Amino acid sequence: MVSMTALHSLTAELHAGFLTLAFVCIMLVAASQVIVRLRNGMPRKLVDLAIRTRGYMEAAGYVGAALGLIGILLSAYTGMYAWPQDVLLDSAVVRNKIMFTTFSGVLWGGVLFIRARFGRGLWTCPMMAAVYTGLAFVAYGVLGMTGSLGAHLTVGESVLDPLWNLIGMRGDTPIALDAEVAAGLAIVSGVIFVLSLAVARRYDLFSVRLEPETCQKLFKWDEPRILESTPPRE
Amino acid sequence: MNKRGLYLILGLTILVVMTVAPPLKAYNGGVSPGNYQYGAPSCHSKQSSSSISMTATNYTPDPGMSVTVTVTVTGGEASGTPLGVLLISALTSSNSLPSNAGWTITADPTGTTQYNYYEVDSYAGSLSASWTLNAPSTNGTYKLYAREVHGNGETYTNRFVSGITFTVGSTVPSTGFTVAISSPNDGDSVSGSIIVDADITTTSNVSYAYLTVDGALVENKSAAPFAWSLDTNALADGDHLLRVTAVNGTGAVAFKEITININNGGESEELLSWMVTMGVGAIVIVTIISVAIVTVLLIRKRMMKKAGGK
Repeated sequence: MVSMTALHSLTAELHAGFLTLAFVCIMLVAASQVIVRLRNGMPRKLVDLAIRTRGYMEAAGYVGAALGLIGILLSAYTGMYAWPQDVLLDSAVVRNKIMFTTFSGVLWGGVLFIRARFGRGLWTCPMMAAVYTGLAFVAYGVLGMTGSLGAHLTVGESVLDPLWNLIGMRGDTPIALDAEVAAGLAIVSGVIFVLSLAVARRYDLFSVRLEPETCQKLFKWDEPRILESTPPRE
Repeated sequence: MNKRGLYLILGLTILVVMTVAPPLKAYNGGVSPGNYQYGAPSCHSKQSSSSISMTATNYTPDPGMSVTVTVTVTGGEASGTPLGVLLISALTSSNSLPSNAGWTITADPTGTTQYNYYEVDSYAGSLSASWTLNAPSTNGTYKLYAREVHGNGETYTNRFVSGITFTVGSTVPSTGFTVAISSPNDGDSVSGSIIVDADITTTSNVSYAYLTVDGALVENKSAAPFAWSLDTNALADGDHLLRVTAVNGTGAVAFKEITININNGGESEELLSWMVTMGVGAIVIVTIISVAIVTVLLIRKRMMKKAGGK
């Protein structure tokens, strides 16, 4: 019978692998978009490569993020049984790891939401592309910190230890907010969230579709698609 | 004298006798908790028919090591009345407190105070009273004695005159040999499973080192790392004495003691705080994402409107 520890190792590798793929793809698409946007000053072969690359990478990033998120959920499930239940939450490192996994999952959920809601057309709006790329960057960073805590649990150290020191945090110190601070943050966040929904409703943002015909001309960015030939230089 | 006067005199006589006559029990009120020398309470001199004995958890402790001494009294005349037990270091009326011989009482039978005299209000025919003491810090031979006192019609007493003998620090004295506990720190409040980490410095090899909690052995290790996992859930909440003792190749002994406060009652509160932090963190992240999306769409809408207006 396969032990939960072995399964957890498998699912952890799966989600880390898929999300790394998603992160690399999204970053490559962002870089390609910049190259295509500046195509007049770029070598033609590079522009050709960027156009072809972004077409494949964009879809691969989406699929990688979706599968990675499923992998996180599977890892959380197998992780619960990989340790003895009665001592699972005794360790501050384990608690922090669960917390960072949750944050990473929510951030990757945000990445997926943007891609699912706006489709490939999100790249036609540079600001949305920046939010999408930035979110993926932060989500991958948090995932890296989660992995670092996992390394502390298994081998007692991690290559990201200097990063922890840099931000002044310790993986083995329980991260917890004071009750008053937590309540205040929850209330303020809740109010801001509701307000943002109200603003979206007021300005009819729920029906916005990001497509080439909407802002591509304005920003001179087009959506990544696999083209047969390089678009004409301006 | 008429009949009425006779009743009056009889009644007054009974009242005077009840008021003036001494209580029938010689040891009626008991003695306040405290530290008493061997002779106190001084009025008790009649040999009791009780039986008294003493035992200890360790008769060869290292200097400063925690030892539990139990005094047992059975029989005697004090049924249903107070009986007191005195733990002493000599059978003399002065300098007989355990502290006079270098002992430190860390807990008396009440568990909350550190007196050498313990008393029960109503003795039920047998009594077992335990003191926890730290052994003297100087090597040598030490004795502890016990005395019980009670009343119930007379001022009875009994002693465990042979006492019990302790040989403190019978091993080779330590030189240049130190033990330090790097984790947890002295006075730390801990919960759940903890690691007790010791740094042992010696010019000779460490033969073995062991961890005790309140005098009870946790584990003996014969090789580094000298770190012990301790599940504090198995211990009661409150202060506990951790001691790491090491013995090196020459037979020398060194040790370090710290006190930790176990607070597993607060663990559920800690868990709740952790869950709340995780939930609030997730809410904050969702809010930031939604605000970012709405802001981008708003800016885009305005820019599109402006461009369309041109």
